[in-house]
Amino acid sequence: MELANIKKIVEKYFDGNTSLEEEKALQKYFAQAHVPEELQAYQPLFQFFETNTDESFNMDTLVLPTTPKKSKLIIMSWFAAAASLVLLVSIYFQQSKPHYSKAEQIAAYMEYKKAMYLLGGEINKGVAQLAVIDTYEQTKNKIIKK
Amino acid sequence: MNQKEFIALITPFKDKLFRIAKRLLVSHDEAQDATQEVLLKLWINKEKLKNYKNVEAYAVTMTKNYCLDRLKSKQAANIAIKPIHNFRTSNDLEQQITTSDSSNHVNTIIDSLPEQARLIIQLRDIEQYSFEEIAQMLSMKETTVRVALSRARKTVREQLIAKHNYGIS
Repeated sequence: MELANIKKIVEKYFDGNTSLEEEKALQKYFAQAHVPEELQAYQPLFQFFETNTDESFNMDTLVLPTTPKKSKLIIMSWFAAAASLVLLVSIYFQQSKPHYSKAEQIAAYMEYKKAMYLLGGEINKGVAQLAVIDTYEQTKNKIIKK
Repeated sequence: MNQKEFIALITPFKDKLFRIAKRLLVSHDEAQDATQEVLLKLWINKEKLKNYKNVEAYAVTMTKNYCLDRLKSKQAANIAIKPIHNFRTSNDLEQQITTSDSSNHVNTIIDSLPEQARLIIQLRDIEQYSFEEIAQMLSMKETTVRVALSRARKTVREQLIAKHNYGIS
């Protein structure tokens, strides 16, 4: 590009009227080693613009949470509600319907059987005494009839 | 939107956000943190992104606002930020030293501008956004952007010419 043209674009540049294409052309022009004396002062500026786009953000440090905080909280509270409901229901059933193991059931049956034998034995004793009463009754009847 | 789609969405402009943040905050680490915050906010609101015509412009606006807030709270806390600059230069060592030196100087000049001017130079001259996009990002009129840009460029020019003529930095 000829010098006069470049100088015109440089003026436009400082007035804020250059297009992106013209600014690219300026950067390209000033990237060359030999620039006329009168434009040399601007060389560092355009060289700086061209070389200053290589700094980058380090993505390694970026951690994206998988679920947004808000909905996580809602899910957690639903879990808590369900868990407490299950707990209440299970306690209720535990108290109304006691559950025993087989060994306990057998032991309880044995105790019951023992108690029943004891009761039965006492009843039989009572019945044996009734035989004595019966003898008295017969003797009494004999006397009263006579 | 899953993580893969989100990464694909932000990849074209994440570095731009970082450089814009760095231009405003100066510190590399602070810019990294700011970019991370902005990307995280985008991710959390990912369902709403469909409503935005230009997610990139929206992200730039978020970055700008975040950085200006940071600067404000920092000014309030009166903490000084020390600039640390890194540059890529050409292979030729001699060229490298001179380019690095003058690039450094340009960078220092730009960083000495007011925040708004710095931001506009960054958006236009480095990230090469159109005037329309910059106007949208900064909620300004296009003509206002042009005027602010022209003023910022002319300030840079004055200081460059002063350095070129007297060799002082």
